[in-house]
Amino acid sequence: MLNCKDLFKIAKRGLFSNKVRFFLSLIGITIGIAGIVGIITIGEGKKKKVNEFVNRMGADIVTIEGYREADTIKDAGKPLSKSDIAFIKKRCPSIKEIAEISISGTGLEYYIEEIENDENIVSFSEKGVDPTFARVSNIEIIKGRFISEADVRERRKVCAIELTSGIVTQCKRNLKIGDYLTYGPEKIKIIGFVKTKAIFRMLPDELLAYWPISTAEEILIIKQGLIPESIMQTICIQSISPKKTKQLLKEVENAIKQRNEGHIPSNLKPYIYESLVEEGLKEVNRTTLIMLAIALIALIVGGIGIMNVMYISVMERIKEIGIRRAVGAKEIDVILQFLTEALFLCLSGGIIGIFLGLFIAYYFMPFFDIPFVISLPPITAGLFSACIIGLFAGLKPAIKASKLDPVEILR
Amino acid sequence: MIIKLDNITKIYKSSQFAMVKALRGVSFQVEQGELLSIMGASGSGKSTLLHIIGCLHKPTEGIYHLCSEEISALPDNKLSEIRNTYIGFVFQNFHLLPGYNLIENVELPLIYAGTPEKIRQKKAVELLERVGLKDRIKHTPSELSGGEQQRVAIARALINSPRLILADEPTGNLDSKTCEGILTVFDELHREGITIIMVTHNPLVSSICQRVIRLIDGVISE
Repeated sequence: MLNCKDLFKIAKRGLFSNKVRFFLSLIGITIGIAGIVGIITIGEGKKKKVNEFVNRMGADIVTIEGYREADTIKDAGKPLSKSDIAFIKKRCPSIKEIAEISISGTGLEYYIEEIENDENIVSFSEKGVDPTFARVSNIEIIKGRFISEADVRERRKVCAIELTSGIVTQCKRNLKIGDYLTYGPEKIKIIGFVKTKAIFRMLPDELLAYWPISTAEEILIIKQGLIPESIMQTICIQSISPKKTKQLLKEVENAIKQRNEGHIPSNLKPYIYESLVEEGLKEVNRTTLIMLAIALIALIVGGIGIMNVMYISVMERIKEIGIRRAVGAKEIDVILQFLTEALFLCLSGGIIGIFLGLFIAYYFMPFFDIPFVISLPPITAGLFSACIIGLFAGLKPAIKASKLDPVEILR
Repeated sequence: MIIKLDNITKIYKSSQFAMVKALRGVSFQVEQGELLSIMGASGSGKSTLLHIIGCLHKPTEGIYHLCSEEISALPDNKLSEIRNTYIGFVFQNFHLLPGYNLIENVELPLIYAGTPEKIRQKKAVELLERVGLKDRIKHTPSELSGGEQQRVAIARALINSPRLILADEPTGNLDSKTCEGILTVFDELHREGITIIMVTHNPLVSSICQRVIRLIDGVISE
């Protein structure tokens, strides 16, 4: 039987005997493989983007955004009460921490004390939090301290400021600990500056102030007369590990169902950040689907093209087959020869396709705001599909070649 | 005894309904080292007989022993192996691989025997030297004359050191002067003890043979 080296030599020779045809027959496969590689590369980039976002926001957090505009939403449920929260905590074994935050509907205006003119009005969004929030959202204290149990208990008028780029651009002067934010008649003292990992759908330059939840309720509801329904209730539930987040989501959904007669009110629907990003990537998914369709068609057409070329190649070299058989080539030798040619053909197309696919992905991914990463999966998938097509396209012509009668051929 | 044919019959299906009886019970034996020619008019079955002896076709009926191995029962890949180890073919139309140089053409059988490249090429060069084409080894068949091409084909037939050389009208496409040259080569091989069977209808060719088998309508007539 042939050894590998001779097999490759013979196959190479057969292919390069007609160079133009060789390159023309590659086109279909190349486009198909490029499509596959492009799609997987985009998929990998998407995965990376989702992971980055989820890790930034908190991969272990399930969120319920409570009674936002509750009366205008159909099928709205009652806001979660303390006992509801306790129930959730009891029913969900994957819970590590649960934190409640109240956020007012829109950013309310604060004045920075001392310089009370219009130019120093900046808008802060306020979040009333309890101290568990610090643990759930993985708060990093830059300066000062965060809201404590005592702050909540005594309804202290204090706040911690989230350090964002907005602080620098929107405030005329540097805020420091001990400064007051003025909100109507109320003065709220800054006690610390923090950075949080989970930043809750915040715009990059939005200004955030954390108050004790009790203070927020008092000022917003009692003193400002806002109806409770217009205050958003956000519940952050942390799972025991990021891997358990999806399970926790299910548990929380079940708990809410039990409290709401078997269904989840639309305003109490818990979500995880992963599904939030994926929502934003729907457009990309649609585009990849179209690309996939094109790639598959190109692969099938390309594969048939290769099969055709192999049949022609067999017929053209029928005399060569006869001679080889006469001097001792076995059927398997002939099969291997033509199969190797087909594989070589498809792999060449595959390799060009991989480069083309990466190139296309590199140029198009910025449009979708997806990071470009070169990774192993698209390359292996490209090579693998090229091999499969090579086998599929080469086998029948190769078997046909091997079954030819050398006497008939050489007559 | 190298070849023993026993009542060999070969029937071809020429179309869906018609059968052609190419050989009707042929029996003979060939001793080691014989130079034998098979003669007969076209259609007499002499090529068919050669194909059976050469293990390219199996007989429909009858028993064929080559080097005391029974061929008629062997599977296809075993027949390929026998062609590769015991037999060298020389064809009327030379049947060299176009585009391959002379060394590559001559070494061809050894590729399928799994012989390492260096040994193959060394042997090929030696044989090309022997048939007088030493300075043409890098040429392709199309650059050679008919006689030269047939010498290459003989070199190819010899490279696996066969015990049997089968030649199908080896001089059919050559003029009489070149023909003589080729016959000289066969004669030399015969002297070295290689068994040679030639199919021909050229009396000049059969004249160098010790023994002539005549076929008429698929039957031996002596």
